[in-house]
Amino acid sequence: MSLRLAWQRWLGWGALAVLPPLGLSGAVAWPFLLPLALVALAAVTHKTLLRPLPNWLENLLAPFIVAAVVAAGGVQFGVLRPVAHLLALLAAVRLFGAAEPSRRKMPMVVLAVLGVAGVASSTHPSLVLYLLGLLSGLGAAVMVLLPQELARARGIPPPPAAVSPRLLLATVILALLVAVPIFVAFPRLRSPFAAAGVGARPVSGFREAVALHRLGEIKTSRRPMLRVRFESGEPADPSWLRFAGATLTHYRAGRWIESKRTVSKPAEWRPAPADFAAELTLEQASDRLFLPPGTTHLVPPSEVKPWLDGSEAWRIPRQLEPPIAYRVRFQPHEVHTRPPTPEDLLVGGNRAALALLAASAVGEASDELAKAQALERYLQTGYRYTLATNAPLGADPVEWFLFTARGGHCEFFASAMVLLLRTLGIPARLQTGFAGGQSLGEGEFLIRDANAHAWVLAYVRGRWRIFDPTPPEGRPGLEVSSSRWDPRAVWAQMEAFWDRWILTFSLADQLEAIASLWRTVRNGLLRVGAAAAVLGLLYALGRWARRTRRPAPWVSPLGQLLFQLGRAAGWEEGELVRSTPRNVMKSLLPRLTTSRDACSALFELHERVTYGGGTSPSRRQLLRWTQEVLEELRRNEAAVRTTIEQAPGSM
Amino acid sequence: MRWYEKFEWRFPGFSLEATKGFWWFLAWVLLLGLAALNTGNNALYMLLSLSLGSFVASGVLSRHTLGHLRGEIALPGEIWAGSSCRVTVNLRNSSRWFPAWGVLCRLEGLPGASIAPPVPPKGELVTSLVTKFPRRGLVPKPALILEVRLPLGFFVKSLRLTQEGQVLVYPRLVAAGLPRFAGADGQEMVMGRGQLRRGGEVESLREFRPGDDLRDIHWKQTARQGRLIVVERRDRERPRRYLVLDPRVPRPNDPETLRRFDDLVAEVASVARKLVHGGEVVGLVIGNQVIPPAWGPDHLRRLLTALALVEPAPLDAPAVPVSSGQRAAYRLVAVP
Repeated sequence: MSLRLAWQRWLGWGALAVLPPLGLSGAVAWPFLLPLALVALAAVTHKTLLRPLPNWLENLLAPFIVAAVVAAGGVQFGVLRPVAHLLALLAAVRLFGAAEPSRRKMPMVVLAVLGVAGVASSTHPSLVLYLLGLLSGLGAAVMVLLPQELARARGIPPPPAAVSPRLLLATVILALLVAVPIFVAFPRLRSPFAAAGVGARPVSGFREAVALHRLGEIKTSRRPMLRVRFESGEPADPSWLRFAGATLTHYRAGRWIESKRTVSKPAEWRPAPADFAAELTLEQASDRLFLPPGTTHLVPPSEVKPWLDGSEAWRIPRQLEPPIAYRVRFQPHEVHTRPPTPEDLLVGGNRAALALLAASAVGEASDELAKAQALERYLQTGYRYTLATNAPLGADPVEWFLFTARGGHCEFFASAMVLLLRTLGIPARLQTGFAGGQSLGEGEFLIRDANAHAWVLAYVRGRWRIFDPTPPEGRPGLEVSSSRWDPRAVWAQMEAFWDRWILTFSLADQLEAIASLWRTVRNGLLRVGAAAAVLGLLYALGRWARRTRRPAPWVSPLGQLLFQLGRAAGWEEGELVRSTPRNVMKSLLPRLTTSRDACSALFELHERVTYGGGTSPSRRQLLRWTQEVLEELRRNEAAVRTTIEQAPGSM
Repeated sequence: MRWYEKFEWRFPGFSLEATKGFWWFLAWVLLLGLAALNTGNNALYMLLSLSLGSFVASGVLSRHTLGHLRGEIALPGEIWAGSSCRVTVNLRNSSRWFPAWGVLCRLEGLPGASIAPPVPPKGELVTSLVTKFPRRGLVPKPALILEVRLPLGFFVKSLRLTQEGQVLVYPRLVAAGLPRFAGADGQEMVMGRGQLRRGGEVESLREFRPGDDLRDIHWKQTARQGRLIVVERRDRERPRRYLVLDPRVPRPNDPETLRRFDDLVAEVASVARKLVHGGEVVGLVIGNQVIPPAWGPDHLRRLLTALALVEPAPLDAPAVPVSSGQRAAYRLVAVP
């Protein structure tokens, strides 16, 4: 295979590799990925080089590409999506002839940017495996192409195109091992340009101004939004998992908007009692607090004074660094909101058609509650849940949903029910927020972006009640695992870990980790210091003891006996310490006659026991031999003394 | 052994050179870091960490590869200046775990290189590279340079392995015409082996021995006896001939003179080689050094060695005039 063909294939594989995260995360719409996928497949499978497209054809395609990108829209979510659309089509065009050395750089750069966009949009735990696979593929490509390029540049025979699996595996494993501490230690500083218009804006929950157009992306995001822990002593009921971010009344031209008239004075919040029902933690930056509809008391995040806005949302400064913790006490089956007003009965657009439909949907029901339930059931059973909604810009989205598409996401269902209820004279509002979640055990739940939901508040029988017209398949539910070792439970645990320590790992976590590390080190240092002090003390004591203790060069009992013999023979302690047992023996033997054998036996035995691993005779025998030698030495000493005393001239 | 010498094998004389890939990688990391910082997206931080991790891994593994690689070169018996010669490289990989992959071998200061096939862990491999020595003379053996770019090609890491010994490079071979010998023609003769010139009288037949010229095989006797038989011919007389190279040149340190002198030496060497290969008996006179006329490969090596080592001398240097035999003189003529 020629070098250029190898380049073409690897570029094709690279293009195929960047596709899955782009498509699965919704960063690029599938129709834009399809041309790239087809060209990449052709590059991989074709046995000849793909020739570059002629210039006239590229020029001809350019306006169509721009038109397609503009038509796809998506600017309201940041520039990333249109740019990714543009790059995907550009890569598809430039992949033709990419094997030419002069045309390689552009597709490589474009694919790299697309890859980054795909990775940045991904929130699934499999992202780690994907990245490792990507690194393996990149390593394999370099391993094959680099020597070939080198050989070509130097005009030498190319080596065989092969990959060393061992080297590749080592590269990936080592890279992973190095990457983990870098990921943990890399400071999560906030850039002054963060969340600027040119950057990707995180989508977190439904906004107060619900547009009803293309809001389905949030339903695929697995990013954690909210963590809820119900206080102990109160069993956590899944029905409590409904947290409102906004309550909307005004429907104008296909949009739910915030009431300007009711924008409030700063909220007066009451100090909460000592026992709280739930603790909530926002895991993403947010400008509002999400609360259960029946909230009675709120303890806001520390040092923050929230205010209530026109959509009855408790607002907080957006620049607060997550995690943002707050506490609430709530009544699970109640809804606390302002009383109904005439505005809760306003219907925009074609009221007559809506009224006709509502009347046919409720049928014979006469009671307000029965009518509301009938409408709820009607929408749940008669309409299809789908995220693919492309309501024409000119049409009213609710009417388009009810009469044309007969399918949509939760906002369409909730909006439709609100308007239908109003045509029946029942005050109704749209409430948006989060519903359902994943149980983490012990009363703790994790709520993700995908749990974003919209539902209906209807004022029936003298109080506000919650209705949820979205079909069950589109309603965020509760994810519960049965057993600890259940694969689903294990996966849930892993996801929880992923969410907590990877996706939402923040500067606060880093500071906490540093503090924890410092505590550990400090404790460790204290322990090490204490241990060092104890060891130093023991060492000093040991030295002192060695200095004050009688030197015992031969530490065995037998050696101590020999030491005793040496002392008796007149050896100084210092000399005895420095000398060897054999020298001591040599000095003793000439002075002995009767106990000579005992002395030799003692010293030979000492050598054998010390160096030869021999066994020592009984202690009694040793003492007898020692005594024998000592007695002879004393006798000799006495004899010498007597001789000296009897000598002429002695004193 | 000092304590740091124990670690020397881990830090041999590496040299490092950034590749284009490194600069691309640097730009990639900077942009990625900026994007991660701007968005606070942990997936981007993950990608950034893995990129930096792969950078470190690449560095560690390429260093590991070089640190465990040793190599020696084996040069061919005859090396001619300016002519391609194949150098054998013996590579040993002492790594227990990883093969030495994509190692480029080259000789310091010389052209030519080769990419060695993978050297297995704890394995050995012999490869070769084609190079050219630019000048004649006795030169130190060139150091072997091993370069590693893999696994990810951010840097060219090279290891210089010095080689013991020297190598004699014969003068350049040129297309030189045979000279006209002048002097005492036919007076001084020397005995030469008959085989050097086919046509001497047949003295005996014997069995073929390795090294015999195939042209001396007696095919009839070979066919008859069923084994290779060669003809031995009687020695015969040859004229004594000398190639005379006058090393005295004006301005011996002038580069242009040196170049011209090298050309002259190359011509003499080429003629000597041609004559000896043709069976002539040739001697060599260089200044005051005289190599008597003789024949055969050993004599040719003597001639070429003398020519490889000859250096230009000043004009007042002594020269030995040859009074006997035919002579062909080579002298650098001063160009006005």
